Amino acid sequence: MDKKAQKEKNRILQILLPFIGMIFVIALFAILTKGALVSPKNLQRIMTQVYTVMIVGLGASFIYMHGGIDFSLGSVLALSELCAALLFEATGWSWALMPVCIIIAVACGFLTGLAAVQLNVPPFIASLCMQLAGRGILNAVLDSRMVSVTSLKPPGWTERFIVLAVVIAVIAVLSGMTKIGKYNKAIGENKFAVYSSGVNVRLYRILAYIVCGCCVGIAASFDLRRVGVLAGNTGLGLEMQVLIALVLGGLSMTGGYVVSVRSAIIGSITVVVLNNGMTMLGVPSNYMGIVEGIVFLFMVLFTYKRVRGKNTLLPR
Amino acid sequence: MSETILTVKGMNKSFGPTRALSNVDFELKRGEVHGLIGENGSGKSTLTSIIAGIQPADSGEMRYKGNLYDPGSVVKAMGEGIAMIVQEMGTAGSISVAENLFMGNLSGFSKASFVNKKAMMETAGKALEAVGIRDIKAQMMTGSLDPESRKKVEIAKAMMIDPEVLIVDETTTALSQDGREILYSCIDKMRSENKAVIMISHDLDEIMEICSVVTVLRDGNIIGTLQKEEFDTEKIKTMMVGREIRGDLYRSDFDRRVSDEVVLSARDISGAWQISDVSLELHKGEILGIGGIASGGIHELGRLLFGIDKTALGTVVLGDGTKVSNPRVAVKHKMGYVSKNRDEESLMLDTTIKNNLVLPALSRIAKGGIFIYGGSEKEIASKIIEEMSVKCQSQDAPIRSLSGGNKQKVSFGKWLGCGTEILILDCPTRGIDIGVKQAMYQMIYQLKKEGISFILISEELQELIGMSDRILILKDGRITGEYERSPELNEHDLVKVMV
Repeated sequence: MDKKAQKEKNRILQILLPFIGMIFVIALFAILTKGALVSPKNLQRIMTQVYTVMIVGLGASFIYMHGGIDFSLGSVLALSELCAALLFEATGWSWALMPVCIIIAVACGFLTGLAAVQLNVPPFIASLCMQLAGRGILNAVLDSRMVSVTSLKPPGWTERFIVLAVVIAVIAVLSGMTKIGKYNKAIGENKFAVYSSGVNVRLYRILAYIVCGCCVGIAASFDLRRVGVLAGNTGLGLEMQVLIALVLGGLSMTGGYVVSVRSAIIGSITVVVLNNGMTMLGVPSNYMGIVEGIVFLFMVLFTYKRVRGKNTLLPR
Repeated sequence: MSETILTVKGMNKSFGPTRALSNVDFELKRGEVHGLIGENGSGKSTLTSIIAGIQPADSGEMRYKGNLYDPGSVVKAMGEGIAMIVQEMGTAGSISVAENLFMGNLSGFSKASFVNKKAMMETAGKALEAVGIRDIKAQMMTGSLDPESRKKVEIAKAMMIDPEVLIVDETTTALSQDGREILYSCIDKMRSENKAVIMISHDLDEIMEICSVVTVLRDGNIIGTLQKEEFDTEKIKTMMVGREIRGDLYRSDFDRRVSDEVVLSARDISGAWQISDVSLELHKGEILGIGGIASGGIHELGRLLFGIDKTALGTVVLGDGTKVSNPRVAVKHKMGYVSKNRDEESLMLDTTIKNNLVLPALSRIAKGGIFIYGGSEKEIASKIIEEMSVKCQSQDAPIRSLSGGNKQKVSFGKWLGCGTEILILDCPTRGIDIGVKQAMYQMIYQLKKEGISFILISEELQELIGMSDRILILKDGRITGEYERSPELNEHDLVKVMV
């Protein structure tokens, strides 16, 4: 009985810890920066950064659910922005920005998923290839010319919040109330059990990449309209930020039923505040990488719940 | 009167949360053939493997010939004169019989790290002959031998070191009469030389015939030790089970009438491993038993029938002519499969009972093929929990909190939530206690009467005889015997065609 109570306590702690972490990080930097962190201007800056990480994280959580991983998110974001911007330059169709971003990001996600699932390339490698290819295309185009959509008005906060609310709602339903979410979580728990329960495991794994692509596309269209100009470092490091956000949000790297919408929402706030706070304190970005790395390692160890030696830590 | 050769005191051993041995005391005397008997998972093999140095105990002490004994490894245990013939295949396939015999002990034949093959072959030949094995030559490739011969090689290997204590772990199930006689003569020899034998067997008759003392284990505890004159079948059974079994363990009827309707058939199927040219037909409402030793292909057959493994030749078809090419097709056509590796292949261990129970049913309850409401999940889960009487706090309790038997009920029960009509059970009662076993058998029988068809794959012949309408025996991937349900059918008939 004692053991059970202990286990229950651990479970609650595991759910609460990301919350506590988020509040701790906000409070810590608010104090250290003497309130500058929560100044209206800085809050807007934080929200802008959180926006992209949160939407992409919501989509990526489907891949992490089934125990996959995606290192191509930043490149795909940039690539879809590039395509949408080029089309806009040629035609001036501002309504086409979001559809084009989504189509391109979904296509990239589909390709990564296909390589990972159908060709059995480890998802780690498949997405790394996509990352390199996407970044390559971007740089090749940017080398020859400038790409910008500055004639567009940046999106207002009302529009951004409405879209975010819709994305959260849709993802929450997909994750908790549909076959896509349920099967992907189950695959993360025990692939063979799901396979022998008559589920098309490959299809549902690829669907996870497609859901993720949709989210990346949405985030890309807003990022493009806000920034207006494409650069070689557009979306650079986004995949790592998303990964750290999800892990800080309490996601288990091995996948399964513990993955939830909550992870992306809480984690994206934590990671952006962490970044922003350190920048405000004047910590050089190289040191920020070190801190992030250490925090990441501890969070992975903490959320990693399987019997040691039985499973590998990272999905491959 | 006779001198004690080995004592075990206060031994404990746990595997994760499972207590395999708790505070076990055990005494072995010279001149004894000491039987260890108990249900699956009672701790027999754990106890002997610790004595033989295969794994260490968590705590407790052993004394051998009066001295403290802590083997640490098999080689060391053998050096002390304790040898074990293990349950699983203990020989390597890709080397010769002689090399297997001297595995880990080539020192007698090597000079400056070169091995004198000729001397080794000669000694090995003598060792084989010493135990009465004439049909196996020392030069033979071990892999080319059938499982029974490999078992014999193991007997020779154990006897070769001239052991003082010989441990025989469930060896006879893989042996035919000829092999058994070789083993029995070894045991006799040990006894006459005033040495000791520990014998593990499921076969109560065999234990009572061969052994002079029997110790009964249950759930990692020693229940009692009986001398030859106290042997009594009923008494030992009661000790094993912990209570008298009320009613029948298996089904009691011998009605073998089944419908003519064929719901599943295999036509000359061959798999990638053992199965070759197997044909079978499963009728509606029939329990078709598949028996044989583990390496004979019985488990592979189950996987082929469900489409998990692809057939190399031949096809598996359903009653309506649909080919079963993968589990998706199978489940869509109301087939189900209970894996023998419950924890690895059937359950999602890190999540709740509910999530496990509803998995195969999700596609059926999905509204519009996509949306799943929590309410319908709960409904299915609670229905199965009630039907199978799964002992749990709630359906949201983690599956890890369940005992092995109840986990097995979940692994089986999840197929009841999606209207399954053909169920392939691979060792459905492995490692669960007798109470749950009985409940499972009654459940299977009940479902059979409702028209559900079963393929029951098992290494336990009693179970097959007790439950099946028809039994197919596989050996080396081929069907070597077919038996109708009958009160006269006994294990020996089946063993004859198994090995």
